[in-house]
Amino acid sequence: MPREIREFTETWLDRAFEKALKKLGHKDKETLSQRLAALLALLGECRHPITDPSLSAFRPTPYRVSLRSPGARLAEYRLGDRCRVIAAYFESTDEILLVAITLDHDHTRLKVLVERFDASSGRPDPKKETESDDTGAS
Amino acid sequence: MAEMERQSQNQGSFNGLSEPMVAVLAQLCQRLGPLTKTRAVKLTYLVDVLANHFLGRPLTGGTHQTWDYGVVTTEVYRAINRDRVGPLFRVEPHEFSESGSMLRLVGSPPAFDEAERAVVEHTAEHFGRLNAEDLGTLTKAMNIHLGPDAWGKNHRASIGDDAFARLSETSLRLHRLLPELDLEDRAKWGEPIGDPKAFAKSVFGL
Repeated sequence: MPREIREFTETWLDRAFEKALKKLGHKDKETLSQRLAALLALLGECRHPITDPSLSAFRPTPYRVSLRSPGARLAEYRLGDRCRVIAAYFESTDEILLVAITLDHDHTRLKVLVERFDASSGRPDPKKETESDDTGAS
Repeated sequence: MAEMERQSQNQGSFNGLSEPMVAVLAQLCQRLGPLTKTRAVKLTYLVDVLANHFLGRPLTGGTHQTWDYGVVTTEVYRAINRDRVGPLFRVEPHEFSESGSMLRLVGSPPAFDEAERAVVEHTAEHFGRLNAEDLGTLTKAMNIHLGPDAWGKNHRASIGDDAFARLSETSLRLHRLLPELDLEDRAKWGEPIGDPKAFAKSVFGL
């Protein structure tokens, strides 16, 4: 039985995400969009939103915070280095609720500075092999 | 406060601030002015999270732990509490802060590697004006994987990429909102997502 997936309108796609999205290049938007679509397709079919092995590429972990809703649990999924999806699942129903998506770009200037100083000092860039750009997509 | 002091006393002997910690605190003070104890113990943690991401290693060499009101760099807490901050600083009373004391730079900051300086200045610029409560909330949101029971238990806080990724405005806002949200209120649920690809494209404005 497929799970229905919906969004929690009060928190899904906040202004901080919209602001960060404006700084994201087209290619990275496409990459993250494909990752999100894949995650949603798998969530729709999974046996459990955290423990199902089909979700392992998104490294799901419990998002452990005190909630007002006693029957709700939260999970965090990794779309890229700095892009995360937080979703809720419930004891009483199979539905999945998309609560938030996070994307942060506030550190662009620092990355540029560090790379410039590293280049001048000959020090290797610790992130060079894992980050292709500054978007958070990996 | 009594609880924080108890947590501090459990840390064993203390020989003053290390040179890297002095350098980081001096630069933070130079950029932001005198720091309340609460801000000093949390900003040094944020410096290490950013340094670990951008430089591949933390800068301060400090121990970052989960105390009642967020992450605390224990060496900084103890140094200020015991007035063992070294000749570059002076500990002064601050009646309006949670901890009642603040750290003032009274000497010249030591020389710093340029990349390291960029990390500390960036930390000061982006997080230095947050108040104590927001810094506490932010550092808790960064360590959400530890769960609500971890706070006040002196667990080691993360300086890894998960903590870095959670340094977003959305994470901070969500952490503030979640305890009050009724996630089971279906009036706030959208329609079922029928086409994941189309939905994902709309999320990313494609």
